[in-house]
Amino acid sequence: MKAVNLDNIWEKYRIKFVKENGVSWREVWALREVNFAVEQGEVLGIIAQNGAGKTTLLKIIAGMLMPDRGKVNVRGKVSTLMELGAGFNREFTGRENIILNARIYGLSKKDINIKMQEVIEFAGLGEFIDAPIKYYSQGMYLRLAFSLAISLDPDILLIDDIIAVGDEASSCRCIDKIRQLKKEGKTIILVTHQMDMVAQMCDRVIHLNKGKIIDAGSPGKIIPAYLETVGRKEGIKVFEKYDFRVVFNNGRLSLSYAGNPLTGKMGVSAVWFNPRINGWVSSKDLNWQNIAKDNASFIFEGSHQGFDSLQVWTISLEKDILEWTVKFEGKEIQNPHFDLGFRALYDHWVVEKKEEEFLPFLSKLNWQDLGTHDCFFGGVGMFSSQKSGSLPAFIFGQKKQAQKIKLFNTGYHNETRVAQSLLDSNCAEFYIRLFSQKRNLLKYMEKKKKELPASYRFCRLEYKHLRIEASGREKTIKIYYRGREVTAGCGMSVSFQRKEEWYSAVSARWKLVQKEDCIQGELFWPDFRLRQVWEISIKEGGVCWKADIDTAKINEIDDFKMGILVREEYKRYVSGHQEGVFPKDFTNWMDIDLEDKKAEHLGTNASGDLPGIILTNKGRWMNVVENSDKKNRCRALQFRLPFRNFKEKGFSTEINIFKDNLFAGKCVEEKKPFWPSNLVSVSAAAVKVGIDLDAKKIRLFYQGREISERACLRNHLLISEKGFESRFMGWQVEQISKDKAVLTMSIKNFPVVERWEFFCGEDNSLKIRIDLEVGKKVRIIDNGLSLELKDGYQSWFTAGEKGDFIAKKYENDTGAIRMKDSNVSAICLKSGESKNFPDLTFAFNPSCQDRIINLYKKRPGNDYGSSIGIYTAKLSTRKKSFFKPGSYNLLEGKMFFGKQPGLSSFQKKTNKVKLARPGLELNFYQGKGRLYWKGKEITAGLGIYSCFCHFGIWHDSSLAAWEVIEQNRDNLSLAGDWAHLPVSQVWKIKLREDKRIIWEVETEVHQELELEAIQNNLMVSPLYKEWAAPGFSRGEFSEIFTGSYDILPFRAWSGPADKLLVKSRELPDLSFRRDKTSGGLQGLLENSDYFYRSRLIQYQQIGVEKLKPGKYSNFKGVVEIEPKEN
Amino acid sequence: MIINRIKKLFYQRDILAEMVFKQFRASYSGAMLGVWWAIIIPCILAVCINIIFTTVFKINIENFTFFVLSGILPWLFFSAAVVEATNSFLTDAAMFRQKMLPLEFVPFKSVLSNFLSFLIGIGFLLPFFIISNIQIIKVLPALIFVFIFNLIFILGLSLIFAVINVYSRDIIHFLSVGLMVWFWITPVFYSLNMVPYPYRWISILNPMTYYVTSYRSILFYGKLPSLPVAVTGIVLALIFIIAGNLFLIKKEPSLLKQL
Repeated sequence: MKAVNLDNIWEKYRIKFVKENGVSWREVWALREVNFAVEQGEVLGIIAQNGAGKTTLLKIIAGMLMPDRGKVNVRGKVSTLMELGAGFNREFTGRENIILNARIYGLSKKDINIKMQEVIEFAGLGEFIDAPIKYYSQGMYLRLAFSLAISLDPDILLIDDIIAVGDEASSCRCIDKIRQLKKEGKTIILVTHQMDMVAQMCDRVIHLNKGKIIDAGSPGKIIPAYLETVGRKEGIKVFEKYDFRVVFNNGRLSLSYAGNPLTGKMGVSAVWFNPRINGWVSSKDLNWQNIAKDNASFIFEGSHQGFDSLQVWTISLEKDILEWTVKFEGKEIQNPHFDLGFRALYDHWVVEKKEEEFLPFLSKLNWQDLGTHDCFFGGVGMFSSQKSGSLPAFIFGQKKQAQKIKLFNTGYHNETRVAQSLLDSNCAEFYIRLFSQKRNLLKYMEKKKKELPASYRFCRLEYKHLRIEASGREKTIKIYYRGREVTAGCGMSVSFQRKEEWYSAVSARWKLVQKEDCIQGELFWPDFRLRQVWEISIKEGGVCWKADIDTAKINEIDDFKMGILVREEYKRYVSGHQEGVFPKDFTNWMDIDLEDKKAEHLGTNASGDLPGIILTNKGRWMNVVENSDKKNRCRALQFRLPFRNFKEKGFSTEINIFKDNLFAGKCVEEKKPFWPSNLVSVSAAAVKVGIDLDAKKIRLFYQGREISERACLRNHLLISEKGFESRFMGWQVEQISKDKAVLTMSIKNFPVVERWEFFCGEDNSLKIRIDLEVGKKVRIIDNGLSLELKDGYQSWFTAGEKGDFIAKKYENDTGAIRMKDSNVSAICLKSGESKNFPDLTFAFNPSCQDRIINLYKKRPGNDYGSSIGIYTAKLSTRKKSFFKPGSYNLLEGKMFFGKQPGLSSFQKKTNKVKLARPGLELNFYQGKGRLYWKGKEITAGLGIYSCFCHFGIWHDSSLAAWEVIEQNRDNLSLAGDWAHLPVSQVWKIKLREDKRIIWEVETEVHQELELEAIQNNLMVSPLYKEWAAPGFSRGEFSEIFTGSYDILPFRAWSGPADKLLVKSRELPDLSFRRDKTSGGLQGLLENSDYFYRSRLIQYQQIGVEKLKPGKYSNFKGVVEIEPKEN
Repeated sequence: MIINRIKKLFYQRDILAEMVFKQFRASYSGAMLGVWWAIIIPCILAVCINIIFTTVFKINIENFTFFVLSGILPWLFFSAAVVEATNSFLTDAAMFRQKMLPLEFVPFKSVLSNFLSFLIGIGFLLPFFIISNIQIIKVLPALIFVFIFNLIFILGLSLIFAVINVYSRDIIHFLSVGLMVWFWITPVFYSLNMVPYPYRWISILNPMTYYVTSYRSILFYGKLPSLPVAVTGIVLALIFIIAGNLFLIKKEPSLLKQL
């Protein structure tokens, strides 16, 4: 049935214009030929730019205006949310205003009394309800008006952009309320500028422009089309080729294919940093206009006076290829890049050989960094694995060969993936090419790769602050330090002279090959038939350069030099012990006279932030230090090689780059070692363990590079309240063989000795075993192992989940990485882009029960960079924490570098205990209880669990050590000891025939302590949408899950209830009751955070007094499942 | 059409009543003496006029205070209602932004809330009128008819004024002087037969003359109003209410745009 029917509506206004030469009247049509109908229960959105006639339209529906032509038919009571609070009298109290306005609306006194409480509660005014509303704040006023308008029980609700109802929390509640009305089957007509809201709520959308309906349909179709057209008309252009549609709208490109948008709201836009305003500027901020002279090309120019920047985009669209070139002009441009925001339905990306799945969206507001990826041919490909959508695969990138593309996930509310293409100059050519299928995309990439001539390749190596870029096109190999080029000209150079003529790498043919850890180059001079093979790699602190040279075939060579050319800012040089200053003038490649021509070290430094450089002379060659000619303006540090028949050894040097700008000579003199000297190393294949006896650290190396950081690998022992850290113990190493060593740590006058065994395997693995020898009876309270690694890892995964390394909150520079199930026996860390970090798997003997693994991230400190930590500890019950004299094995673990052994082989044998009834299953595992109904999980997150708060820290039952005491068909008893609190609990669980679950909790305190809160919780599935606290209130859960537990505006209810109920369409209704004897408990219903995404039903006791040692029986709860009858 | 309209008004009479009470309460809210002002104002005026006319002008009417009161109470109601109603579309336009109501309700509620004050004033002073002239009791029921037709007349008139005022604000300025002139040409503190004949047509053309005379003959003289006066009063009331409504219906679409 139609609730609203508008038939050819026309509405005009007469508007008075007062000008100097008199008054004139003009008629303006606010609405023209408007036809539409709204079905009962439908939610219709009206979107339009300001002044398009939206409000007039609403007023006509509400009867506040009469159309000049046409017919309006409205069935049912209309309530409007237009000018909130317009009917209020400021002298009357809130309550009086509610009554008066409700009466005017036509509600009977009886109805008003019923509604009153609801209105007051929703408005949240407290005692202010009885104060005249002239004393109200704007927010209170609006809240009251909103809650009144919405509770009038209208059949049709008209909403005109009313989301500005106070703070975010209350506006969220308002939106939820509207959603609830939608569910109740009210007809809603919604006018708003918030497209998210339209997209979420409306069934149908009308796009109004200048009083006319120009488009109507589903939100998914209309909204993108609308957004495309919002903006200054001069800066809008629509391109269409078959199904591919591209809209340029004031500095943003939006793409769609066959009516399906590919890009999100963000579209494609340029972003750069403006140092003057110290902020990011987007091309959307510029003023755009088409400057093309003819109609064939589309050239848009964007400028902004405030930013002193100008941009020109030239856009063209072929059948399935969109190409655009961008030119940046202006001084204040730093880090320019292009952001492509595309829909989350694209879940795979492919670059070069790698094809990977996007990580799930984890964070609400952050841009979740998915790594920087080198694209050597053409860009990054995206495709969707979902079959249902007809989303085409596409490739996005710059047209040049080598480029970097960063990927992000952003915002769960509007889930969007972002590909960011970095510009390295102020001019770039971009393209997006669509493919109907993933297969075609891969084929295209393969083709592109083949097309790429080896000589044109671009290779890059990176390690820490050091970067090498080899370009076959430019024939240069450049070294960068902290993003700044150190070298000049062609960088690493080779040159030789024949017949008074100099030849260099420029005249050679280049072939470059990018290897995992090095760049291989082949230089060939066809005129001389001379071939050189180079291999360049990065190691800690420098560059290794090896060259295979055969000069035998060249006759009449007069001179032959290899080395590097550095910037003219380098002023001083050193050769062996001789120091000097480069001449001021550029002396046209004139050798500087050196005392010790065959010194082992040849170096240079500069003031400022350029690093010091030292080259090692490995072959007793001649050192050459010279200035270039005036044109090149660089300094050269080279070695003169034997002219003829140079084949014996090849050429090899190390170019050391010094972090801090120490004068290179000093380092040479002092012969500072690169590695700590007092290092006992155990190694096999690429893996090395360095036991650093000076720093008392156990370092890990992979391919000669250290991957550990800060504390490296260490054990923590807390023995009878006395903590032992390995760095305070006495260390002794016994090297058994090259790949095996034993480290003994002992403490003076204490009968506990830790024994570590390291064994490196040829398969790039490292076995670690820690044993403990105890001389007298001790209690080991805490026993954990931590491994801190350099921050080169992008993601982690365990047998059951995966995640990234973005910490939400830091405490003392340590941020926890949350895991849903930390009771795992193996974890794998993946390094995204970096070739310097091997994928690392850390696994423990799976038979070892109750071992948990936690992850954390540390912020960079003064001496260390940021790091990633793995912490693992064994949860042991109180009983098992006492150790009699003897020898114990604390840990047996294995690390795998590079290759991953499938994690499934480390799947834990879980000791889940189960109680079951037909259809219902209840299992307990590690302090978490889970409920299944007909195979579907009812619980979510932590399920049934308890929790204590002590000094502001929450201790969940999932972090306690649990033991089964008793189990039979109906009953289950579990005992758990908290790891960091002197508290234990005994849970008695009974499953009754009538599907009631009785959960009794008995708490035992071993030492006097104060607890701030004791909670007994049940986390249930987010499919439960409605809640009730019988006798108190009822309502619906918000659909918003916060990013962090600190702010909880999404608490549905709290109060002294003893029964809490949740309802769902898909799952059986569930109630969580507490026994009346367990008094003083507060019932609570709220949403958990985004991580657990569940509804929390809780009974908590806050402000618990000091607890004396002893047993407390403090909770008895009943969970009841009420299956739907059908 | 008019019948439909009346039906609609009748269905929503509750709302009108609510609006009237709201307006009534709002007009006295914040005042310490509250509703007492409905009595105080006519009394003060009556006392002033009494003093001026008995001591300065030496008018010789017996019981002059009650003579003036019987005329000034209806006049005060009339003038206050007309001024308030004339402005009502402008001051209460906000009402239409929440919920669509019949347009008539806006001037009507202004008139009716003033009518309430008027009733309170009369109700309070009625015992005194009766004490001064016991004959009144006999004709008291007729007062109700006077109330009704006087009210209908004012409703009709204020509708017209209120609608005009939306288009041109001149009417409200005119009223500030016009009501004063109107006051003097209405037999409030003199009686109709005191006006010499060549000028009496002014009083006869003045509709308020009939209502004030009716009130006075009941409240002061204790007699029923003469038949010509009563009939004229009834006819005038019907003419104005019909004219007012037709005018509003004609102007409604464009009036809504102006609000």
